[in-house]
Amino acid sequence: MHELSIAQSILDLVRPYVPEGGRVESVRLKVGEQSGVVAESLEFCWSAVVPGTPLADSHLVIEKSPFLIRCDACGAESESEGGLAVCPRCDSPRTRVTSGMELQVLDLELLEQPPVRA
Amino acid sequence: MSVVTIERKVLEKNEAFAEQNRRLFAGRGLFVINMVSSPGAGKTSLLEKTIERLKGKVRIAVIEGDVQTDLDARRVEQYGVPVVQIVTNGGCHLEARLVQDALQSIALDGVDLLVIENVGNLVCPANYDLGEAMKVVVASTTEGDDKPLKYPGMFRNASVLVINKIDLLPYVDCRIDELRGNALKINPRLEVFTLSCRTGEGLEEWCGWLHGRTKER
Repeated sequence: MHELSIAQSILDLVRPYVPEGGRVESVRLKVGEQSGVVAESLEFCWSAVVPGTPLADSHLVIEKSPFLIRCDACGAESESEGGLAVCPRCDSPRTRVTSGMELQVLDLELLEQPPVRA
Repeated sequence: MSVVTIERKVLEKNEAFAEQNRRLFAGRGLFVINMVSSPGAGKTSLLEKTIERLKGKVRIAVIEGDVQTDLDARRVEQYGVPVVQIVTNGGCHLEARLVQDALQSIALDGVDLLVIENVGNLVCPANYDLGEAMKVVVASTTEGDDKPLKYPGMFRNASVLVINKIDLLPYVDCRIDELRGNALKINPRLEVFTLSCRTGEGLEEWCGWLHGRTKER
């Protein structure tokens, strides 16, 4: 259960990207299936860390990436269930992880600001 | 609606600290392992037995990580090695920054091997690089043989698996070949040791290997 510290890290990372007076609508993340982060917990923790910041009204948009391995024996890239490193096509253990470990902030979307009156 | 591109790793700050630690360790010719396991698998016992066996051959220092208390540091201190305790106060894992701070209060001169004993937890410490050369995951026979399948992240990120408490095999439903096989399905490159801290069986192989790796530095 380290989602709270992950949420805090995301907040610290994106805050400098919010322009003065700007409000954030959403933050888009890429979260690998085997990254060790639970999307639902992260969303819950996000709501706990944002109050009082320009991201107070924001929500997370989480794009999950599947766990993929490439086999050095048969060359196939396959989705592997349960995080196994054994090639589902030829049973070789000579594989490399090509996707599913990501934990990345992609971008943020700003809320439309009402026009400033002169 | 305007979009601001960021495209940065969430844990990049930790990774930067880990990289600083790694450079510091390399500069001192230190071999550093990060010991991880679920609570009660026997990390501290393994550490005690290792210090005993390598006495006079490898100079060891220890960083202990626990949620609360300095009980483990006090246990290890009795073996006459430099030790510092990190209390995370609820935190479920060590981070590279905490290790960097702890390094300020430990005498590393002449030390060959630094062992960082992480918080007992098979999930969160997998995500945090501390700057170590490798993670050593300890699994005990009392936890069952399916642990690697249930907690794949830790076994994937480790380089070594130590299976502890093999003296209890007659009394528990754990098939050692199944445990080893499951771990290798997650990470075929794992180096595996089987031992019992209680009886001493298998400790020689583990300590011999660790001694060799430390001297390679």
